[in-house]
Amino acid sequence: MSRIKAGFSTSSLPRIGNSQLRANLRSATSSIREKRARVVGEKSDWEELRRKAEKIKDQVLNNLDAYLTELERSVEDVGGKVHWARDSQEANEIILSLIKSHGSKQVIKVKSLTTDEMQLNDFLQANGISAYETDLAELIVQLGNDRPSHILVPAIHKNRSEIRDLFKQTIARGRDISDDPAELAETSRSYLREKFLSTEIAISGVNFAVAETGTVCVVESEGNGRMCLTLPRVLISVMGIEKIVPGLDDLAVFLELLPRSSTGERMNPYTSLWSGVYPGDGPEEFHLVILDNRRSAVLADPIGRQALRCIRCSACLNVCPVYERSGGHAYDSVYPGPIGAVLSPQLFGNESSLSLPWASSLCGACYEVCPVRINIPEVLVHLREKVIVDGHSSLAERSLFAALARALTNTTAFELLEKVMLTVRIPINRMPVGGSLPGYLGKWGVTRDLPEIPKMTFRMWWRHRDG
Amino acid sequence: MAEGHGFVESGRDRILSSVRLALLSEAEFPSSAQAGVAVPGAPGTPLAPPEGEQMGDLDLLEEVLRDYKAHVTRASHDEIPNVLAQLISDQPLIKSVVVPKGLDPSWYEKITGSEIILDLDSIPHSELAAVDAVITGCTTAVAETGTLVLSSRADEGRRAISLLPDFHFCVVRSEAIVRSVAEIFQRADASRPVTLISGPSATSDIELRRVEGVHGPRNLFVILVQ
Amino acid sequence: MTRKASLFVSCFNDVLYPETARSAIRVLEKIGVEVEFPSNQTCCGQIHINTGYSGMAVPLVRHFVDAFSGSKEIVAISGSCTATIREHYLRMAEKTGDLELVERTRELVPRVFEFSEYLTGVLGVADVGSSYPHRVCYHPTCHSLRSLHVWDSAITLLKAVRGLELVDLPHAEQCCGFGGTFSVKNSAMSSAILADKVANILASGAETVVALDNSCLSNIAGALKRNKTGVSVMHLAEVLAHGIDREEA
Ligand code: SF4
Repeated sequence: MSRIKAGFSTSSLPRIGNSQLRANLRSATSSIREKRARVVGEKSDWEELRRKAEKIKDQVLNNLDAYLTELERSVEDVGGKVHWARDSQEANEIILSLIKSHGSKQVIKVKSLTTDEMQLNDFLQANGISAYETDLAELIVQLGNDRPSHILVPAIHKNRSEIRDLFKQTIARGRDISDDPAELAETSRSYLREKFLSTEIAISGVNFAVAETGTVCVVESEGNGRMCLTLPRVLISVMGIEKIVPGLDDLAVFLELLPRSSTGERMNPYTSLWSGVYPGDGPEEFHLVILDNRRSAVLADPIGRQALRCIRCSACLNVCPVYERSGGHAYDSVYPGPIGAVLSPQLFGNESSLSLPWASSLCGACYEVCPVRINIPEVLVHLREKVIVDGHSSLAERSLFAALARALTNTTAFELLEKVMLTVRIPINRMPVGGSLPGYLGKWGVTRDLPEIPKMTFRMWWRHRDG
Repeated sequence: MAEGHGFVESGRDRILSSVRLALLSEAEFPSSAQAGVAVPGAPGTPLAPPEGEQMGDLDLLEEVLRDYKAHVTRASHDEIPNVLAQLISDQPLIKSVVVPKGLDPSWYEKITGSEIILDLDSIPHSELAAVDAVITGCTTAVAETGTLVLSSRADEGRRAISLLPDFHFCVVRSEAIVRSVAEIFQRADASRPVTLISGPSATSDIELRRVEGVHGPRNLFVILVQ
Repeated sequence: MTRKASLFVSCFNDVLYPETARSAIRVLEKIGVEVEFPSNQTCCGQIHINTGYSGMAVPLVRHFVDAFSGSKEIVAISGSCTATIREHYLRMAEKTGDLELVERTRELVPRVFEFSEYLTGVLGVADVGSSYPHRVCYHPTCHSLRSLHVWDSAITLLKAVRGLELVDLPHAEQCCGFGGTFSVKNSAMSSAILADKVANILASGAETVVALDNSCLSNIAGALKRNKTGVSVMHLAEVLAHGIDREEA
């Protein structure tokens, strides 16, 4: 039985036909694409920066054990505490015990895909602790019991009037509000302000961690990050093992690449850096949770590992023709889009992710924009092979490709096959077009006519011409 | 806690050993950049020359800041007190102004009509949140990206004071300006908390429409000192 | 000494688009290149490799290398086949551990050129003397654009064609939705992407869509025909072969 049959082609189906979703996504991705192109065009050394970033990340990955221990040492030298978690369960337990040890019942959070990957919020809730998302989009998702659909703009699938309705039912406290984005933002500001001032513990993700100095970096726009990183007494930050850069100069390279690739800005409004605890400024306690969760297994794959260079800018989502038409939910993973198609099968290997390597026409637009030069099409093809080698394709398909391969390696057999095609060309050419044809032909035929088979193959003509 | 500690230790060693194991499988992988003939070249879109290449750092910084909807005023060193007093009195919403301990007192002595609060690190966050404005210096500023860099120095104060008030007035001396992001850490000491500020707080989370001002200061005033 | 080139036709063109191969020969011969057709050639293995049957395609790599062992310059009339050879062959050969195959592959790959790239880049030819008095738009297929970077060469060649009016294709760089087996494995998605490509083609006002790959063109043509748009598709080689002999006099 083929396990990859169901999956993306099915989950994307209802979404392809959803014209509201399509309109939301199309206008969002195309405007961000244009902004990105404009600010990238300003940097004459863009290619050089990309290659530098690629090299820095590879340098880290090739020596990851050494960089991890260096980071641990430097974070502890500046007064932070490092925790190691092999998987989500361990990371969640560590965080829970930290919260409990402070006797807290609630935490504030600043957008972190890694904690989404761990399903931390659900875990905390099951243990009696409320986690409040503070990023506007994450808040929208959380209030609506929804799931994020984009790395950077998790609520990209919702338009303003949908958000207005949601806020009215939840945080507007009976006030009447319009669907003006400024007013919606104001509503979240006043709702969250009190949470920022009264909550003891914050949980954040990490964009970059500098091994040499123990400096941690979070990149954001709204200021909710600064609130979470500055005001609470205790700060817990969670990072995947791959988030390291060696030194501060390396970090600067990524600070050039990330905002331009991500939001299409020269620089995002706020970037916070801190090294452990600093007397008189910010949290009194800092915990860094370092999560593996199969990343070390990805590292062992010479082709797949380049996905660990990803800095979660989401440029690849915004240029992807498939993502633009399916939206993020069809990928059924915290990591949607092209990067999700290469990361999810490697990190999670669950059934729904097995079809993702095929959710691409291999057009290469993702590779072209990726600031760390992840060759996503290369990884996709590699993962397709891996999934098939693991026995997940149908017997019919395997037999078809095996027979075809045999015919194609034998010129005589190939010519014979061509002759067979020519003998049936008339009925084939006259075949009623449409989706009623069997198998692949029918799939093709729903929207497209088949090319007509000509009277003579090229090689026949050539022989003829040669006399 | 002791139990928790043992748990943590074993996690660490196991992660490090599986990383080492992964790296053993092939000593070093050539990245695609170096992998022989099979690699496509860099995507070849010719790039326009960087905007403002001819422009001086100060002018470029001003232009990019304005692009972010920050208010920019130029002043000579001697004009700082008057300019700040004027800018603040122009804003009827500003009733109180917090200033870091190390800020030059002459800068705010001309301000009238608003209460000046000197931050002695003891004002609780809830009270700071009720303050309308803050005045700070800055460690360095990046012209290309319109970025102000604060690093908790005496004339910048702790991070909370430049975060909670709704108006941020930042004085940038021209000697402090650098061209690009690459130069930030030559000026800013990362062992202190460092905040990079590029325009007022903003979100594009709703239909990707940019809204200035969510949680951080919604009004950013920059005084460029020549 | 006359220049010799071996034509790699590809299995797809051999059966379905022989006219493209004949046109390429006419163009190459017109500018003095002697064309050979190594008759053992079959398929580059792209369908297998891209679908995930790379292992099965290893004999195809070997077969290709054997078939073209006597060739100096190899000209392919498919952008995606050229890209397949450049991107996958060496790594696949290395995987076999057969050092001789690795060496032969390493030596062969740089000698494979896409048709338009061969004309402009290798031969330095921009005008082959063709005429095609029609309104044409150019669809840069994903492999030509992002793997081979040959956007310029096709445009240069088209601009030199007598009577040809080159019109802008909106969002030209976007995929047509073909993607090999993607077109049937994710057929609804593929069709949705294709629908936008067709809308853009119609908006361009072109009578003919030109590209460097008949596989993408068969996808585009399938929808253009189904929707009775009256717009035709043509491989660049066929456009260039048009009116080429008349001009000679
Ligand atoms: S894969 Fe590249 S483009 Fe996509 S999110 Fe990661 S870094 Fe950005």
